[in-house]
Amino acid sequence: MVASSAQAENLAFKNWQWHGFAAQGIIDVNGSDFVNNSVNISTELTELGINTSVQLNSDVRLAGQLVYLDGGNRYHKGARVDYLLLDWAFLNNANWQAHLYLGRFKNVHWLYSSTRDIPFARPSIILPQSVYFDGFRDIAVGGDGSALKLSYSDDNYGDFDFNFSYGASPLSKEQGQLILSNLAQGKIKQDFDAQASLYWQPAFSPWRFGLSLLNSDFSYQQAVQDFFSDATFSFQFYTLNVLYEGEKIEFSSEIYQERFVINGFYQDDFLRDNLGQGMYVQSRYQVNDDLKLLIRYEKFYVDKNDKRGKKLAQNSAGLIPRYFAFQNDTVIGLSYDLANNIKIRLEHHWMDGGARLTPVVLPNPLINNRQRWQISAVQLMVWF
Amino acid sequence: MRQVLWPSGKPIVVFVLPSKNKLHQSFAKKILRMFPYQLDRIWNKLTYSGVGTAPILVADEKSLIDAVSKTPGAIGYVEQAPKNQNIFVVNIKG
Repeated sequence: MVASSAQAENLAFKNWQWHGFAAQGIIDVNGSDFVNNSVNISTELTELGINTSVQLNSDVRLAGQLVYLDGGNRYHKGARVDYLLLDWAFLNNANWQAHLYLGRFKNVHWLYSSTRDIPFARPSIILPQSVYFDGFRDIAVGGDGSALKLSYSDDNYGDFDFNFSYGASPLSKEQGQLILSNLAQGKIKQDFDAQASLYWQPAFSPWRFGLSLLNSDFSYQQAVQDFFSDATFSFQFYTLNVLYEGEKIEFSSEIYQERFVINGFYQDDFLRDNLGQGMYVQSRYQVNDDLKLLIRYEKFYVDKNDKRGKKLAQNSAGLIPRYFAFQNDTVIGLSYDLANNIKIRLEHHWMDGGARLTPVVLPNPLINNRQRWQISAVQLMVWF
Repeated sequence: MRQVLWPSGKPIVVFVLPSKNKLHQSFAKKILRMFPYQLDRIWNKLTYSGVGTAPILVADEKSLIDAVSKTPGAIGYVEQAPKNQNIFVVNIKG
């Protein structure tokens, strides 16, 4: 172990850091409009990012990241500020650390939420859509407001991390239409988003356990010429997760329940109160220093009292097929490190159901007319 | 692992070798009791989600010694103790 002495020069003090990444892939979706309405292979699998971090003094830091995303129908195409925050480290001793983040912060509450846009840092090209639903990406990825992180660690009890955040995300008309319906002409607004999470890793253990809670409200204001009415949407989301990191084998799982209440929208007195549930289990195996294999199974249904969509079809007079009530995904994949900062990733998904195809509030069965569909994707990524 | 300041209040600047470097792999497993990919994940999360700053990556041991010797509050690890008056050396048997 080596450390600098007091005589070290001051010239090279690294208080300003720059990092970035670029990824381009090709994706073939067979049987849905998950990426686009074409049956051809698509290059709409582009992710670019650049970030900086400036240490203003020993306690305060300024950090920001700009990303450009093109995923076809998966989310709004274009550049956005991913985060831009002031980080105040207001407590730091042998066991305790605390940070307050002000500005636009990232969601750190779920297992992969903070790295969902970082191609080389997430486990697959397409994440489990039940939790990391691309249609909700711009709402779920973070918020404008404040966040708190409190950590405790010791050699007896291990590491504890508590996170709390409160804020809201601005939503464009296009993002609103992705979630609601292509016909929605009004304005959708996120009123607030409050989240909390707690993680525990026993001392020197390969296991990590976590739970998270989310509560968020949205409102819809109808346009003068609009097919839909004023509405409020309420969303609650609770997760439990576990992560095992062994030398060769990894395992992770998230299990969750969500409550989605629609008040209005279809007509003034409309009320729907659904409890959705889901889970995924995932394992990765490190074959050698460069090659890693992936296998995952995911299960999700919108209403736990209508798992196969019988009521959904009946209530819509058959206009919305049963398979929009659920979405299950079986995935195999691999990643190969071509260099220290270059990786290629390949994967294949067998999908059953369309509950996470946009728009979700009013699905489009004319385009998404198949219960079973598939995704194949390959993506090359570099970073610094 | 989570300390960011020396007792004097000066920031700790950490320099590390690439994750596939044999010394890095040995240091991570024997001293930190973690696998290199776990460190990569923690540092990627810090770097690309804005919640913190990761150690600074250098290409090899020579670059690491050079960087540590020129940076106040810096720390790193090497196989052989360097002869440099700007550097303190702590021997670790692992």
